Amino acid sequence: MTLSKSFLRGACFSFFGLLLLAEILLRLTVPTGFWYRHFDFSGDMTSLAELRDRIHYAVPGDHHILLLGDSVLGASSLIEHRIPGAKQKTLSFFLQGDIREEDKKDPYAGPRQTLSVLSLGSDGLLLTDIQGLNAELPSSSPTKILLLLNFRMFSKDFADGPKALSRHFLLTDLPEDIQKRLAPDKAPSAETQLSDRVYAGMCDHWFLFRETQMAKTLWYYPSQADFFQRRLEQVLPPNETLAEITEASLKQKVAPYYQAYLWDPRALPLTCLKGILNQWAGRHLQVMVVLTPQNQKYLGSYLDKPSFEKNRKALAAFMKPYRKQGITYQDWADRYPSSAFLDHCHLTPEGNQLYAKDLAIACIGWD
Amino acid sequence: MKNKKSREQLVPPTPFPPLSYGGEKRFFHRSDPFWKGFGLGVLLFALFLAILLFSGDLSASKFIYVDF
Repeated sequence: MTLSKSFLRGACFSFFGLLLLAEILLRLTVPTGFWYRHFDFSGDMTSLAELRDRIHYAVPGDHHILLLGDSVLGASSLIEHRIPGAKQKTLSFFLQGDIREEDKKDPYAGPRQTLSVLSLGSDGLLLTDIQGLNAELPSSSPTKILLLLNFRMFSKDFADGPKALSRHFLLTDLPEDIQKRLAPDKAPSAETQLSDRVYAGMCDHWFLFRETQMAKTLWYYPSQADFFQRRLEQVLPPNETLAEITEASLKQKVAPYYQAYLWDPRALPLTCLKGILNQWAGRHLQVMVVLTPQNQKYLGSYLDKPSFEKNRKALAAFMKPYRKQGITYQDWADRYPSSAFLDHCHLTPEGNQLYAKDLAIACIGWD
Repeated sequence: MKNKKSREQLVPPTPFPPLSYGGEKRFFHRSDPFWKGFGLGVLLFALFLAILLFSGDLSASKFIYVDF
């Protein structure tokens, strides 16, 4: 094959033409919310630009409930436990249907738009992330906010330092004093900084890149390694010994979240929670904060019971002054039996269904 | 050679292939290098899209509880 001018012209014409066509198509369709209506991208956040798209376009109108929380809302644990159709058995999925159903039953509700649910829950989300994310919310919406707090969010591991923020693209949305507390001891290398800046720039200005990064959640979620493991399991039988090692490893990993440690009110989680709640109270939003159910039996000796109880009481006391400002708090840490859980805090599909029903009733009844 | 010269004089320079081949009016002709290049461009775009869609891990992967 000779590389004639005409050949190169044809190659460039089709390559750049398709690139341009894809960009135009995405720039026209993303603002309509088409992709969010037809695909479930929940569970992860890849860039600030994607987050802004989701806030503005994923749900039509202003009349919606905003869901904030960590992996409890998503499908990662269900997928890791190889539950078929995991994305249709998540807490946020069940909540969408249940809230709409409860909203229709509400006898005091006048004619209005259908209440929809926007889930911004992501794996590993912490309270610093939620404060950053809150800064991105437009002043006009949402109607109601449901925040699910997990024990992990208050853990000593995330009390201060760079680990206290899971999505670094949210750093610029945080107040300066918090940004200083999140700064790493050693500044990242020039290469890392450049690579982060290039990635963020590409996500900001190039729709095709932004959307393809987001689309990866459709197959790789929760991780690329898990995706290949699933493919392998289709050919080879599952390793039963691995299941035991997995459970032991999980317990070791989550043990620090439940160790003898009393949550420090000056640490970043509670400082950020205070900042978030003050902003919501100032905007007169209807908010419900729930301490998500925990599986105490699963944790066994890893759980420091006195700290567990003291922290629950401390959080209830912390939340009490906000009640007058329309922010209600519910401690559901021991609401469900051990059989409703897959592990320390993620629920089974049936557990999620029950949890979603209870949350929907509580959400509709809080106004 | 003579024919080629006269054709170059008649057809203005354009990135697109000629509209006729040997007197036959036809936009698409498989043997034209432009269309061969066009096919390669489509293939390259598909490859590029596959790289964008399948390369790299998710940020959520850092937060899964059990990862061997």
